Amino acid sequence: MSRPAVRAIIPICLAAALLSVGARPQKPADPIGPPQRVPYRTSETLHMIVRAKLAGKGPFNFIVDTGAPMMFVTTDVAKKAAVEIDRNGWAKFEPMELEGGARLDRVTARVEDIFQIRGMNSLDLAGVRLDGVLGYNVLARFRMEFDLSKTAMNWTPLDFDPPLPTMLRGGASTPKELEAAGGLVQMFGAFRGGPPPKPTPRGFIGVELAAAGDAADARVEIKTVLAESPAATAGLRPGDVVTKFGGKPVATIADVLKHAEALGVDEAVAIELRRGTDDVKATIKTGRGL
Amino acid sequence: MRTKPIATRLRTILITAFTFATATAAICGTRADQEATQAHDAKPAVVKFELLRSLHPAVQVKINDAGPYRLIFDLGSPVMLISGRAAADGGLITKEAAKKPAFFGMRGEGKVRKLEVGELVAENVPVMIMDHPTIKMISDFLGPVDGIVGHPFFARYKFTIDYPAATMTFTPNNHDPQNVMMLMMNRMFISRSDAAKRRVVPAALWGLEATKPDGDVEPGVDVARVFADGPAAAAGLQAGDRLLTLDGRWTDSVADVFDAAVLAKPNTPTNVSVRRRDEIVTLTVVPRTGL
Repeated sequence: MSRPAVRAIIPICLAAALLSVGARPQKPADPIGPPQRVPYRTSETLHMIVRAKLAGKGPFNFIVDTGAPMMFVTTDVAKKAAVEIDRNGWAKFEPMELEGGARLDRVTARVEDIFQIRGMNSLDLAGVRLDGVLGYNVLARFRMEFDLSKTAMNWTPLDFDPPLPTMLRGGASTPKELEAAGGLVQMFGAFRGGPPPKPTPRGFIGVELAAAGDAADARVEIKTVLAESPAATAGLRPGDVVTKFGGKPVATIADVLKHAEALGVDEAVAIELRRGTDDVKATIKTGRGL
Repeated sequence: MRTKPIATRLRTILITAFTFATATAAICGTRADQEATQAHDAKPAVVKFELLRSLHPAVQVKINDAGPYRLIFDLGSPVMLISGRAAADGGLITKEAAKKPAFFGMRGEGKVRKLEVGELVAENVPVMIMDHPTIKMISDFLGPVDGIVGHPFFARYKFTIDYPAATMTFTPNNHDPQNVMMLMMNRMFISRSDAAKRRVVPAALWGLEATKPDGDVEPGVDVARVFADGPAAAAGLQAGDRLLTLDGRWTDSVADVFDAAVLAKPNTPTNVSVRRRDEIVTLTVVPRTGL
């Protein structure tokens, strides 16, 4: 369904809705399985992103969004999952597997490149490619537990089959000015030459570090040097005290990690060590790994 | 209209566009209990919500003792929004300021000293004061809605949402919410050369290298190397294993492995699953402090 058409039906859709009120009393639903751990990450836009495979394809990135009345996927997702889109823009995915193990045999989603997703992707604002949102018809199937200080949620499947929104005249509706806002962001994205380059893995060194000394005399000691790692090649040894990393003095593990933050793969970095009473300089060439 | 700096405009556009991850107001014949809010003394705090016909959960919120107002509880919103009307009643802006026309309805930012959701009281909650077009649209058809409860509120709690029971529960988690606008502006205005230096930084040392040949579309990545004396080796990982998950997260690409490792803290037992010959093996790695 074309965008102008969607816009045109806004008033119809909403007005008709007022006539279609059917108060449906709800009652608590029982769990139909144990809580499932759902790992997630917080995007740069502070959205909770969960990953899911649809019809065996993916993983795709979805925003957990109680502000969405239903699940949305982009047209790209529908294409990859090779699903049929009905004339009202809905598609069924069998199954939907959530990262961590939760699973739904079938979900229905609306296939639409909503402007929010287009806008955010054009600038890579979220820091991950967004493939859609999980809304009411998926979220209501679980009793969901969130805690943003943790890296995973717990979702308990419920004996509840949420109704799909009755999309009167087949339309979703978005205020025009919002579509315009999405467009402006996309334009800004294009003007900037597209999304910035993706972050790449930090280079690998192969040392375990330990804090030594007290607050007044904090130092960083090398606890383990992994065999055949870049650290081993550079001649680092257990017991060495790191005094400088990348030319900068270090006293804590946090200092080392901070100075190493921008280190890529196959990059040389200077390190200075105290070994017994000797000062030792070495150059580490980073490798691949973690 | 007075010309504003482009950055200010952009902020407004971003907020307008992305508050609701999905602003779409689908219409449905479903509705929960109209009775909103009311909690018990029990811990955690229980908040009843109302499922609007637009299928948005709504809660009753007091702003500096004014209200209650009905706000949509939106996990997709990185910010809190309150209407000009509610902001004026709560003393954040003047009544006149609440009525002036504004770019996308944006009337500034503020802090709500005391924000009550049911029996919960959150202090000093940053809010955008905005008559959001989507909220206005929903209000026009479903009765007054005065904003969105977003990240700056719910990030402070461990909370549950149960739609059939129309109930949320909240327990403080001492988490300090980040400021999304700062994050977004940093991202939008980062130079390409600075962006090129951004790394995905594992939180701990694992002692392994993963690879995936081009054209390999099967789940998982190959464990190409396991470094002797490292945490992966200690857990029994072997070169040649097919790494399927790390901390419950799919590792279908090398980038996936790094993304999962960013969140796996040092000295914390972490499950990995590998396919070895035709068996799925789960191992527990304790990654260490290092790099």
